[in-house]
Amino acid sequence: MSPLIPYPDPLPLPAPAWLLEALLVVTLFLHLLPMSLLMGGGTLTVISEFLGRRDDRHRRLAHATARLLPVLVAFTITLGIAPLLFLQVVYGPLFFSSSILMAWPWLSIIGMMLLGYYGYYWHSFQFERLGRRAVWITLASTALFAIIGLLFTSNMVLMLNPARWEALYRGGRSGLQLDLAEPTIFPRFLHMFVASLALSGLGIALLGAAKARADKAFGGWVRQYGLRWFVTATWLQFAVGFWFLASLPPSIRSLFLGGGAFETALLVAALSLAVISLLTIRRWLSLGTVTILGTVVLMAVIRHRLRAAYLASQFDPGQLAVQPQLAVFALFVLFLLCGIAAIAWMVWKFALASGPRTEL
Amino acid sequence: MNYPVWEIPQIGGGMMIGLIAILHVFVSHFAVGGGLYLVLAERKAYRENDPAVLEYVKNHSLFFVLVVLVFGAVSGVGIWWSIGLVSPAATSTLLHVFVWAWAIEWVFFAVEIAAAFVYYYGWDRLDRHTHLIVGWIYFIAAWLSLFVINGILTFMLTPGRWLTTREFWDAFFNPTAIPSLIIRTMVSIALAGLYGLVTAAAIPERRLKAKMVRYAAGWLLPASLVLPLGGVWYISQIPPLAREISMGGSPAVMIFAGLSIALSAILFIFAFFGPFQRPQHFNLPFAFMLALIGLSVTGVTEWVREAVRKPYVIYGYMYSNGITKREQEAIQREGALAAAKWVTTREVREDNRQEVGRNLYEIQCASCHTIDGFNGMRFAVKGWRKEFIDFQLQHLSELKGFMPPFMGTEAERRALAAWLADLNPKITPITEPLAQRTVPPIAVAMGGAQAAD
Repeated sequence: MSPLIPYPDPLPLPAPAWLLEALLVVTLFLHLLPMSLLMGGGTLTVISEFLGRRDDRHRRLAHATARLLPVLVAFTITLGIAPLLFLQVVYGPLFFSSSILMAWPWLSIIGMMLLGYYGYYWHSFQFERLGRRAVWITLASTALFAIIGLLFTSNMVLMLNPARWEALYRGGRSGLQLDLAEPTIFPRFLHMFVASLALSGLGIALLGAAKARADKAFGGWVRQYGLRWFVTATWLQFAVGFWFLASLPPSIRSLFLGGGAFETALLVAALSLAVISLLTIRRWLSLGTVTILGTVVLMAVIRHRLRAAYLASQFDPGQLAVQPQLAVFALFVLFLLCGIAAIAWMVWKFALASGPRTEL
Repeated sequence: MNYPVWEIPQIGGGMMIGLIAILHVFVSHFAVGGGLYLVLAERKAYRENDPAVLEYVKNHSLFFVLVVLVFGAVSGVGIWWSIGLVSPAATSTLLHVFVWAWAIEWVFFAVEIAAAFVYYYGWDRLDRHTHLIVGWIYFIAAWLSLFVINGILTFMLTPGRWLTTREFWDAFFNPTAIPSLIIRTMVSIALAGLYGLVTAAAIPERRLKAKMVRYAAGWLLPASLVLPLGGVWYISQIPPLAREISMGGSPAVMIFAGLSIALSAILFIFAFFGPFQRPQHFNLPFAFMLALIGLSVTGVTEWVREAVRKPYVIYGYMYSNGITKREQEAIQREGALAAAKWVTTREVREDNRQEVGRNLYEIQCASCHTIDGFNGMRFAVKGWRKEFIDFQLQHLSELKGFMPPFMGTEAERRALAAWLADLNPKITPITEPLAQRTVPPIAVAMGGAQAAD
């Protein structure tokens, strides 16, 4: 065990660790959806904008997806707050340490988020006026969000590797100790990135299916085009995912390859659902969507098991002192239900409204 | 001490948080009051059946979305990011006490964001009634998120009975929670007017401009009446030392506290005699000037609120450097290096005093001080002998009431004193014999250069 891991907070956790961790995994899954649509959607918008210079269908598609990007940023940030909150309360000693080592890159995420977000808004409001220059704004914003993703990967890996902290801290207290040399960071980032392309392809296919009701030819093309991305990226994921798995430390890797019954079962189930999705999606779009969402849920759980495997014998949340704040937790559940109801009511009213179609 | 240290040259960690926080406060309070402004102005447009007013509200809502949803939301995340990097121990405390409060605040935030989108994209799509309800949902959710965060913020200065009971409700409904909530609500309404003045001043058409300028200026008036009362109530509830610091104990803090009151008064007087009385003469530069005064008020007030909390980050529980009062005695006995995690040495020897001093500076001083910049140590100890520094360190909390005591063994304290003394070059006494005179005294008096030839 690394002697650098800070002592746990002297105050007890306000809920058992398992509850906070369960919420962490659930809210992370919710964050992964808009996050993937944002990362992949930004990338695919850039591609369609370039292709749209010659192909009008791509121009129309880029116009439609570009308008969704600012809203996706808002969803990604909002749904990202909750998992980060639960992560910090349970894993604070690890998370704060790794964040401080890379303080400047970590803090720069805020600035990049702001720039990238405004870039998408600018692009969305001035799409027609910007003309051919528009694509460079999407490209810049998308690149910023990709860097943010890489920094997140780096920090999430560094917090699991206390053994790497000392060498970094020896480099100074400047908060510039960005650790990109760790061998799992790039495959891990690429794994997430390729997943985002697949999910965004699926998102575009669903958009096409919805558009097909009004414009059969265009909608049908969008659906086919999106599915092509989904299928290609998902097949590619088998290679990237395997590379990520191969890059893990042997003792951890073996857990997912038969060493741990639960971990192996999770991985097999996730991969099976992905294969089912690939085989069925062209014919039954909704079945393929549900099964791949099942894969994402399982992957969120696998990710959590991976974290536990890294931290085994170093940091066990189950050992932390607990003094539950039951009443406040109950209040949270109550407000959560009210909040979901309020959002559902507004979205329902918006979807049913008869006014002119100012689409999001 | 439990965590690694991030040294920010020149400005230091506190200022880093402050810069982000001040901008966030200026926008996030607008996010609350601005929601009310939108619905009430929209309702006004329907009641008066004035399509021009409605058009203004629509344009204002775009401005609102771009300022609040983007800058407000991201800078709020920015505060959270920066406090974790600069004060991880305090952030961890707040998370352990308030994680469910934060989770509740997150729910309100999510509703707020969703409502703002539906409101903005729903202008020509939803019927009037539904659109107004969405606006109200926005405002209520935004105010509730202020309600929650206000409890967490005020806890840091006045944890009240929580110090003994460790009960969530004592922490949340602490002595300054309600007066602070009143102040922040009023500030939100005033800021809604201030931002409204900016968009109203930009209206080209004269009649509409005069109407909306006067309307927006009116939003500043309730705050001018209620804020002084809320302020007095708030000040009556803060710890005596905090009150003394702001009322003369520390000249800089007193000046800033005075500025907060003076600038607020100037702002309200200008708003009353300017846009409220003579809306037709109001223009965009004037609006920006008022907004700038508003930002300055926010800046100095938040700075004072932070400054009076010294020597604590959580009053009576944790010092500014992240060390809790409970740990204090053990550290005094066993030594700071023994208790710390991220230090390069654990023992004090004759040959490693520099290293020890530097480590102690990092874990006990660097959260408020820099070496050469803000609150710079090199300047603070300039001309002080090692023995004098050591004396100061022994009586820090008595000499400087807003500083935590030095915590560590005597050997550690001496090492820190030696390191601090070595920040400045030694002033060695002159022992050489006096120089011989080569120029006659009369020549010097007549002017150096020629005489020397």
